[in-house]
Amino acid sequence: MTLRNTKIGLIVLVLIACWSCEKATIVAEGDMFFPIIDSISVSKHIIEVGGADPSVMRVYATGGGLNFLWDVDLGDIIPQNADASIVTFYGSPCCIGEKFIKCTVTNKMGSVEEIVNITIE
Amino acid sequence: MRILLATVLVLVLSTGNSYAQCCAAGNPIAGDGTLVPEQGNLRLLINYQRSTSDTYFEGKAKSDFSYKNAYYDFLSVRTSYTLTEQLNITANVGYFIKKGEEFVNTGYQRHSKGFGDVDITAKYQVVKLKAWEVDPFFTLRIPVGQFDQVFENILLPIDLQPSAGSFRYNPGVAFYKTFSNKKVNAYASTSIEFAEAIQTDRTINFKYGNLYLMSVGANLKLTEKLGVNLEVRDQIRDKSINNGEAVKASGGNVLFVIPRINYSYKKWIINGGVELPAYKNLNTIGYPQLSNKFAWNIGVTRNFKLKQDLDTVKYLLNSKVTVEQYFVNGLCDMCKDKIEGVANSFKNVGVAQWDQGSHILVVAFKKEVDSEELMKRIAESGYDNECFIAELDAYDSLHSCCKYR
Repeated sequence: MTLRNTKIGLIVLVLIACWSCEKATIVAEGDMFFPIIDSISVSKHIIEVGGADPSVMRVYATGGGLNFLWDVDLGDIIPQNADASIVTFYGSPCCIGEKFIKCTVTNKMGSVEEIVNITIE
Repeated sequence: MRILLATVLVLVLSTGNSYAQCCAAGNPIAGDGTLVPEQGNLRLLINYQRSTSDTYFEGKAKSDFSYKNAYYDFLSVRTSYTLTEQLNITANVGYFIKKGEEFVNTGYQRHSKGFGDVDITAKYQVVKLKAWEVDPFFTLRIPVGQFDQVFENILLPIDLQPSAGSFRYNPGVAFYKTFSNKKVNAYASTSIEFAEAIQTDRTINFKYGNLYLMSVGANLKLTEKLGVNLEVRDQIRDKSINNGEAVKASGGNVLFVIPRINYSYKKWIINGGVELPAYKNLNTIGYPQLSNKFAWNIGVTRNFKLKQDLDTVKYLLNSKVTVEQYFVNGLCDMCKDKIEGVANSFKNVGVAQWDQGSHILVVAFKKEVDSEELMKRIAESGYDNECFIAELDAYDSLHSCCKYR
């Protein structure tokens, strides 16, 4: 009797825990999981104005089915491959100074972003 | 000293609207140089503009710096309606067919397309003295288009987005003068544009610099169908502010010379022009700035006598009427008003319209109209027609622009 009551109690506790918990984020589905940016490599953190001295950036990320999006307030980013995981940043004359370039990596599970900085002199 | 005063006077009296390609905002302006339509009239202008920029400037001098070329193909539709004798409302919406740039080093090209902004202008006539008119106005520029277009996984920069991304407010005043021969009218206007910070989810905090516009121009009617316009426009833009700091390669002073031509074909006016930057001083020594090289535009304009056209349609639809046509000679809009005025006030005439191109007067009536007497009255007002020749003193009394013989 005591063992049976204990089992019932445990089942009830589990059920209560399931009802009261917030719905957990699905972090994996098949081969796809929530994206992770391992790193962003930057060939140069200081570049000169003009098109002759660009910096090449490459994002290393995992998660499956990834989409890459780059953004900077002022400046020119040019994709170097089809999915834009490799891009070039040029020193536009309009934007001398330190620039913060954001890379957003997205898939069906969610998105993650990271910012790198490059200075145009 | 005299040259300085004359220059100041020209700058004070002139208003202009032009855009350097770097960090440019929203719709370019491509007008047709004409005055607002008369009361009750709706004017429609459809315009295409092409602009190219491939030269960098530092201060007043052309720079050897080479980085990218920029261009746009822009289509706009503008409607202007004069509600009362004093009040005119104009709405302008633009669409970038393509707004792009090419990097000189690599040949890489990118572009955006889409709706720009909507501009709404209210103009109110406060002074009208014989041939002079003074009209203060206010323009609200609304960023309806996209400001976050992506091209090949890259969020395009501010100056490539179709919309300016911010609300802008533009108060100003315009002056008009019509000369006694009615073939020439001159105008001048001045305004200031203030911009709010760009509204976007992007991580930018950008505000366009204030824009000071001044222009002076004149329209000349060469023939019944052909006219020319010449305008000089000056634009002074303060530096843009990004994250609290001035954007070094922004702002400056550019003076444009804008010749235009217009031709009337039936009820349409075809117009075209070019924008030539005659003087530049981009206050960015050490920071080369891409600037306009050349722009041209072509468009069509049509005026609709809205109230009269609606009344005419209503009359013709709701009644059994007889329609007759008569040849009546004449030349201009004043002739049209006078001929139609005589006909519309004639006994039993329902509606009457005279066409400038064909010289045909169309008269619609329910009860019989004494056509011979109508033609006689029109001849007495100075206009030869298919039944009568106007007496010399009646013809001589016509305004100089109406002398059709």
